[in-house]
Amino acid sequence: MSLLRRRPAGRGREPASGPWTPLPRPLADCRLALVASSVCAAPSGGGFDRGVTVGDPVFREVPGDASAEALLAASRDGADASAANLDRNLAMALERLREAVADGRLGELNGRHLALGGVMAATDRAVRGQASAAVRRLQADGVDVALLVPT
Amino acid sequence: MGLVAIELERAGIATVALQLLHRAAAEAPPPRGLWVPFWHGYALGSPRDPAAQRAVLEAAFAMLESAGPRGPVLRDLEAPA
Repeated sequence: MSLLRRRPAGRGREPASGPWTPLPRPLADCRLALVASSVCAAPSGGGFDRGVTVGDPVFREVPGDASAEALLAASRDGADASAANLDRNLAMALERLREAVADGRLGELNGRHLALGGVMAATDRAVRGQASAAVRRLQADGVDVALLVPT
Repeated sequence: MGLVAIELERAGIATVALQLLHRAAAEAPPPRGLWVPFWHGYALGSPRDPAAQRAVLEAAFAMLESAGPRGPVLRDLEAPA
């Protein structure tokens, strides 16, 4: 199966305004946190709630020093973990980001990252319910930059 | 993820969001969105292909560094040859 998709015709979006934060300093001096709507969770984080029908909207913490291979990858409704089981970096790109730090491309990784269990519905509910608190955690950590990765 | 990105930007954290669905990007445009031409589960591209995955990250980093117009901005990652 090809991994490539064709981009849909048309952009389907109108210009909009909203909050905008410029990069505060060169990326090589920035602290980055990963925020993923992921099928992966840290073993210490208790995994995702399998009782939720569509995605688990709780932001789970993934320790910054977690081994990518040690992450739990579990399929659930609407989110297939088969790709993550081939390579956890597809869901939580921790090894690639550590390489970027080692190369001097990034300043450092935050001591924790955040993962939601799954799909858009979970993301919407998470934003309504607890995004502010999750963002405050990263703000308190002194995070400059966040990379958001969907599943 | 666009809604999460907006909350982060509101808190002063610069963001770039990989996007698998144009429709989702249209409904909740993240300040900086990078559409990637991959299927669900493969946001970074091919498994066990660190070079290709690094190329996706580099495109995302370039968006953060861009002095282009204030967002929302949605760019397309060019499909690998």
